Amino acid sequence: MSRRSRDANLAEKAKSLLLGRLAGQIDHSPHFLCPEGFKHEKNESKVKSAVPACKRIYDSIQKVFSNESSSLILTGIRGIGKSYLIDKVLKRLKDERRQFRLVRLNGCIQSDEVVAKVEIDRQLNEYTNSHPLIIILDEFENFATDKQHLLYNLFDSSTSFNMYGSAVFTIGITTRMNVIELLEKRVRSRFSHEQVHLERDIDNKGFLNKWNDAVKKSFTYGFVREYLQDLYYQQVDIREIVTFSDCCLRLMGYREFFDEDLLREVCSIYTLNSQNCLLQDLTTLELSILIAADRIYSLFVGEPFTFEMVFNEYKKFFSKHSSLEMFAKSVVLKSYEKLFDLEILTIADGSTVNNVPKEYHPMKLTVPHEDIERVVADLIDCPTEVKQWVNSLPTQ
Amino acid sequence: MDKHLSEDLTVCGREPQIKTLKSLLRRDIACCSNVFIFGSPGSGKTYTLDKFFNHYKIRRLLINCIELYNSRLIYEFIISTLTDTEKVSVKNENEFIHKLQTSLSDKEEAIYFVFDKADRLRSLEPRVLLNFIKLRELAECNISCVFVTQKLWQEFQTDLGLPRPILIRFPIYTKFELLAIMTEDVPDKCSPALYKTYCSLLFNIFHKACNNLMELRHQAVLNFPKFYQPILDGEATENQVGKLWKNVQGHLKEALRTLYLREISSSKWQRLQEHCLAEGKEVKIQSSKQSSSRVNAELPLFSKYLLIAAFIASHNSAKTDGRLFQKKSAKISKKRQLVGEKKKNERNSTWLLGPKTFTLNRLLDIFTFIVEENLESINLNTSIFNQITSLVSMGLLCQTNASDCIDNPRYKCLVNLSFLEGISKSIDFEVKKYLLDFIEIN
Repeated sequence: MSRRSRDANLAEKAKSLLLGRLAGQIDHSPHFLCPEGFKHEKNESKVKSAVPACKRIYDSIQKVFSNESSSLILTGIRGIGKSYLIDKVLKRLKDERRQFRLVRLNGCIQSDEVVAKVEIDRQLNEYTNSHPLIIILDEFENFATDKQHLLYNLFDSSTSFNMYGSAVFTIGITTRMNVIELLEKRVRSRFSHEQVHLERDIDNKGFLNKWNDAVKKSFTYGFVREYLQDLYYQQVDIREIVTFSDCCLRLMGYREFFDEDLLREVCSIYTLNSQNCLLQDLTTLELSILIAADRIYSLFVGEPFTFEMVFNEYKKFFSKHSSLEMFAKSVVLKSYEKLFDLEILTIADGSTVNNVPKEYHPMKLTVPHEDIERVVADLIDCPTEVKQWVNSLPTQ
Repeated sequence: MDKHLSEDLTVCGREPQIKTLKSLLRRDIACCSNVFIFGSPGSGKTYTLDKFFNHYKIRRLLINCIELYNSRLIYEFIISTLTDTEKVSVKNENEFIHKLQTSLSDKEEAIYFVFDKADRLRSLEPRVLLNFIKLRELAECNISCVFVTQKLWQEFQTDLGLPRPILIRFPIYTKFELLAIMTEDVPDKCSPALYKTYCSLLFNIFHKACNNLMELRHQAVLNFPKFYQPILDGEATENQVGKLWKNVQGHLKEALRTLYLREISSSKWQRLQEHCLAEGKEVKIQSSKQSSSRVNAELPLFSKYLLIAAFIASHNSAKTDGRLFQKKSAKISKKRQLVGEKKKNERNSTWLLGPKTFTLNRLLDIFTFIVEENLESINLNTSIFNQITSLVSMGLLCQTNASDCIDNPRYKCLVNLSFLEGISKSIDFEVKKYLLDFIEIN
């Protein structure tokens, strides 16, 4: 085997290893998010509220070991590391050799109470002892629907003690801040009213320090910075950073390090403005219809329009410019329907389309005028008349 | 290593997408995030994916979200395909996750769930889409999902806050790529070069209205005999492209009128074409006439009059009825007044906003008037009411208030003008005389 191909094989192996590691981390946010053993180290904590939150949960859980049932709700936006935080606390409890039973439910999977109860039974059957019980309810808001028998039973200390033969500590995890308002009165009064909220507050410099030199260099590229900045301002999902790294690794090919080309490619995938993509793929006819619809929509601000109005506008323009080819009404209607199919046009809010011929369905436009203007200006094979039509002001 | 796998797959015009897919979707470890593939209809999404998975022998499960229209069907389909058993019952998500974990015995190799027409997933419970996006975390398996759709990712976002997948765009084919693909359909008798010229000519006519590969291919195959006829007849040779072109140009313009419509089946179109070729005439289709003549034969005379009366009632305002339906002598002098009224209401015209509702009484008044003016006096009896009901059940009229409202039901006319003109022509009735918007000042 030549040296080159052996190197390639090694690189491939290394890549698999890294990908595997990333894959393992997606379900529990990456290690740099939360401190080990809750110690606040300068460069490690990215979620500032994580340390006190960990402590509060840990302290709260202690009650269950002194045979006192209690409950807690953990809130925070998606991807901030709520489940991960819980895992940390549980791991610490295990390290301390505390004895407990654990049941995990997910509101999206155990979607009704009967299923949830069956699942609790199944998970409890794995234990033969009657140690204190910790129940974790992910997507908690889905349990707070209908009769809320399950929550009532869990929160009510005497009932839960009878049911499970030990003290029960219930942790609800949810993205909804107002979840307590969803609880019924009788359930709410039994809830321990302990709510822990995770807030995100990333320290950018510390984040960068974690990366090795090659990766560090990639952050000097303007477009990567721009992408990360956008991400930081707009989204707060740590998952995206993980998938971004995953995508970088996968697209690496046989490169040794992250380089500019690679990052440019990945960034272009991640920052793809898909809104314009749809418009770019339209035919001249479809664009003409869109422009006609846009003119009517902006003329009668926000009022719904019908196909007949759009066709009328289209006809008016095309009969003025004989050099352009005008299409039959039935063909125009088909193209109009394609726009509807692509959800560029949608049925106007609050109107029904039962018993209305399709030519008269009240529609509204979902793309802003500026987008249409930009896309038409960029098109190469669009007739000049149509290009001017976009910019001319609509009149009655 | 498998020799075959190291060979690269080529699909015309889709090379960059395949390159990205190849790096993202590996056989050993499934992609960390999901992949979202979008593009206009006829941009080769399904075809390319199909080729891709087959070529690189990557495990995948194709889920058609139109066939499997609710979450339970999807779950059962996935489990039954994975376990290779026919009848599986999966009642809920919980069971699905457990069965999925047990049925994926070969945990080493990645498996991809490909959702075709994934936009349909939005109409299911919101948690279904979230669960599939997070499937890898929930099931803790080597799984990843690929969503294929024509819609944008933004349209999938819900208030649950879905993690963003990796977006891959399939743009429409360029002219060059389209021609290369279309040339693969070349018939036996024809040379590829000539067929390519033909496709390019066809493209020039059609591209303003249509960039869908499927439709263009369909039109090309359908209209080819007409293009090739002079060569068969010995009137031209393959080199006289200009002559061939002149021959087919008008024909293609006619075909453009039926783009996407499929009003007559391909075989019918072919027969029509052969018939016209034999008689040396141009092919002409009057699309609107065709559909109305179909209904014509099946409607009794009074039903036709009823439909016309309903149409008039839907498109004129009730205020003008009194003046419009006076005896002939007084009518002409009133016309000027009516036209003034018409001008005022142009924006609110029923031609733009759609038909208005009318009461049964008004329908019967107009009906008796037009019948008496054109035929003879009639007695209204129950058979008339029966005919109204049958018009409603045929979908030509509809009742707008509750159907148990016997007192004074309201109706709306659902047919369009060209359809109605077909009907009125068949009974020699001039409908425009009674439509406010068509009355001209004499």
